[in-house]
Amino acid sequence: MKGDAPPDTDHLVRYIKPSNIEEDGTVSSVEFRLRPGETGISCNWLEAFAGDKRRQLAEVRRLCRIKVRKTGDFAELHLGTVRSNAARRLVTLRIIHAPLAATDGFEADPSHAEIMYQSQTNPARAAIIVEVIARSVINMHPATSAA
Amino acid sequence: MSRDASDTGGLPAGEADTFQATEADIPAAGEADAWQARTDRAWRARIEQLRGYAEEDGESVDAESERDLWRFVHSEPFIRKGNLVLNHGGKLHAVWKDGQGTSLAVDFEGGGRVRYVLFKQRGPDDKDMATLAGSSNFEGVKRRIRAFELQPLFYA
Repeated sequence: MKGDAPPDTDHLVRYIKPSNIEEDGTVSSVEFRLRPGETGISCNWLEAFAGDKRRQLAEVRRLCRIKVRKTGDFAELHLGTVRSNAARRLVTLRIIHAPLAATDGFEADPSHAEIMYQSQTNPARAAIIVEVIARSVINMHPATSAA
Repeated sequence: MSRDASDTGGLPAGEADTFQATEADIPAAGEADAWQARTDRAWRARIEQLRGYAEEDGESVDAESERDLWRFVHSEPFIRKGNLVLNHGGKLHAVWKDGQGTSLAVDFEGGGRVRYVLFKQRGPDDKDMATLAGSSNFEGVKRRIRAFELQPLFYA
């Protein structure tokens, strides 16, 4: 349900554009910075879809509202790992389910979720938070099924 | 007339007139230049790749940020090539890391200003990680590098 926190056992994916994948293949923390006006980092909650991971990722790709490139990736995060890494570094973040309603030619996306943290009041703290999130990535998946 | 040390290129008085570079001196200087040229090529290739990605998205690499990156990596000899990406404003974000959890990330904001984040592994356990973030100038970042003993990450 909207606003609920997905459980620690579950997983999120976020699209990573090619310019934010470092030369060694790791995801840059830059990708988890909030842009002006954003309230949270958009992700997809895989377990919002039935089936195995391949099927869940296929649904994420199908419903994706942004332009993805073949050379981009979906970075996978394990929620329990993100939360425990954040707690260990004494930083606060919230992960909430934020499903998107159908609009302007887009189907509803029941998997949409957001990672929320404070970025304005303490930019230095926010810089640590995004690094913690980037270090919690456990897997990378091709952004398009043809890749 | 006697000569002081500043006349002798740092050599003791009397040796300056007779000093000649040996073969052992010359390759060291050439090696440094060759190393810098190789490292510059690697930085340049990555910047061009990022420029291509930015143009595909209708964006660009911030010229002042790029100028600052070059000033920073040329501010001392033997600064290693780090990983490089673009942040949301088209500014360059460089990362030096060791694969064991220690890293230094620097955003080149332009005007000689940088934002940095460092993670320093101080022991075998993840809880022994020190973290620090802030904004500064080039010299400020280098002070953090020395204070957190990040020289092996940063210098060849």
